[in-house]
Amino acid sequence: MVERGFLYTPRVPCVSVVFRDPVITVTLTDPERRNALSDAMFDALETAVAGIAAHPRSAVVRLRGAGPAFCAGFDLSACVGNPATLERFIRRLSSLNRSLRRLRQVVVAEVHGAALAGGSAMLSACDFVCVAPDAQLGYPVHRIGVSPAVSLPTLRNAIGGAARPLMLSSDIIDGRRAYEIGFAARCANTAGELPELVDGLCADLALKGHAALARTKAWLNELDGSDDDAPFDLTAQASAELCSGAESVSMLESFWSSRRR
Amino acid sequence: MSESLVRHEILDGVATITMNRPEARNALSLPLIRAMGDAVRTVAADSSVRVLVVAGEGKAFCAGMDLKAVMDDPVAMGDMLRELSRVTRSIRRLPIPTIARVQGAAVGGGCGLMVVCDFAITHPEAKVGYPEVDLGVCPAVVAPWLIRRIGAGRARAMLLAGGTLSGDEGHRLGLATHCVPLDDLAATTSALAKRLTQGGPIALAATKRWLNELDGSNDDTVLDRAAEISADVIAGDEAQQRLRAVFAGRG
Repeated sequence: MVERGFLYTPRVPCVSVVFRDPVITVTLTDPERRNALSDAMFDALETAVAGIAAHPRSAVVRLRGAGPAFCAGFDLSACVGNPATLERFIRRLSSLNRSLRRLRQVVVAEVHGAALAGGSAMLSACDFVCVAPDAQLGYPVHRIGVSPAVSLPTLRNAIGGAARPLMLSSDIIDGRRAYEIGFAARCANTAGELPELVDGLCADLALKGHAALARTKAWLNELDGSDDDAPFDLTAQASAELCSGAESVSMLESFWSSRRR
Repeated sequence: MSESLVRHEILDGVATITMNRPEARNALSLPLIRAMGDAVRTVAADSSVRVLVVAGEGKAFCAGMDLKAVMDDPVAMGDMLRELSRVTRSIRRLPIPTIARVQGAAVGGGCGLMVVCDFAITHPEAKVGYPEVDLGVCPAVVAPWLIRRIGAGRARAMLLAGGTLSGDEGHRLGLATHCVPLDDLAATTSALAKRLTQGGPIALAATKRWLNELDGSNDDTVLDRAAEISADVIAGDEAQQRLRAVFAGRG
């Protein structure tokens, strides 16, 4: 079978995008850093999402990570001693989440390994989260003096009241638990079966009425407040304003030095 | 006409409205939806009624909108969706608890009727869900009720995935409040209805009014807009082509 897809290479090589109508596959391709969200990764994702938004024949976006993890969160190496960078990452994450949520296409996340902090936040903006049973999800950011509030607008919609203990506890939950609380819509029996599960879901979604899917998604976004910038702005500000505080600066430095020992 | 399409009985404070088109699996035609509306108004006006049970005669609770009856008439389809929107909100706003007794199937608009009730009792083998996007149709009318029932995240995945679920799975995801063996469906419904009649009617009405206010069930703007979105999408080329193909396939 001749594939109609092609490889799209963004300005920085952190993401690959393959268009194979009507499914677009976006892969985070920085496995050595567990696909951490750096400026380069944000640049690549923003470029990819903008390209997808302009692509008329697609109905489904598949978002995945290469290597051992989906996405381990922010690239903290860039943030230590540099609160302005941490603050910028938070604002970029908020912007990325809005863009993902507002894509006309249905977004399916394929999650294996770690999807932590900013990685978990991205999931909450997707329409479907499919997990390996041993995937790791959560917001363990209070230990570096950061508030995960930036994730709230989409996470609260995704899991309702379960967002409160998940955010406040810094607990890391596995894929099975994510499925139980409704964070994940599908859970593979084994990690090895995850790609096949996502193949099937994407193929199934591609068969739906594309106009009906897009209109349904737009209506769901309107109903759950995803089109409203105010909560995104407020929560991004709540998270960002802590970054230059003494607590965050010292806790992040201490966390980072303990990791390096 | 209305009397034959919907049966309406009251026994010991429990009103039962039964959709009565078993030969069409209680598919929601415009006359049936209007007859439901008439029956709900009768219940609302009767202060002796403490609980409403919504039921379907025959093998299925409700197979969804009877779109085949208005094929090639998108305007009539829109009218049906608007009427269904009015009936669902009138059920929701009754000052008494409501129970859907769901056997066989509750699909599309039928599932909408199920989740708008305060309680829904089904059985493991039932078929429930929203296959609208499979048909190129937008489930906008039922979306607000589903979000209130199971939360925005699960509703998003369910409505975008289309298809149907078993009663068992529907219960796990929160579509139904109870799931019992089919043979126990009637008895479980009666027992729940009887128990609910024993609550203070003023307290129940106040609780329900407050729940409706909190979750936006009284917001006509959203519900009117939902009906218009569904009507608009169903009149589009994609929906019309898919519906024609489905009906041609069924003969």
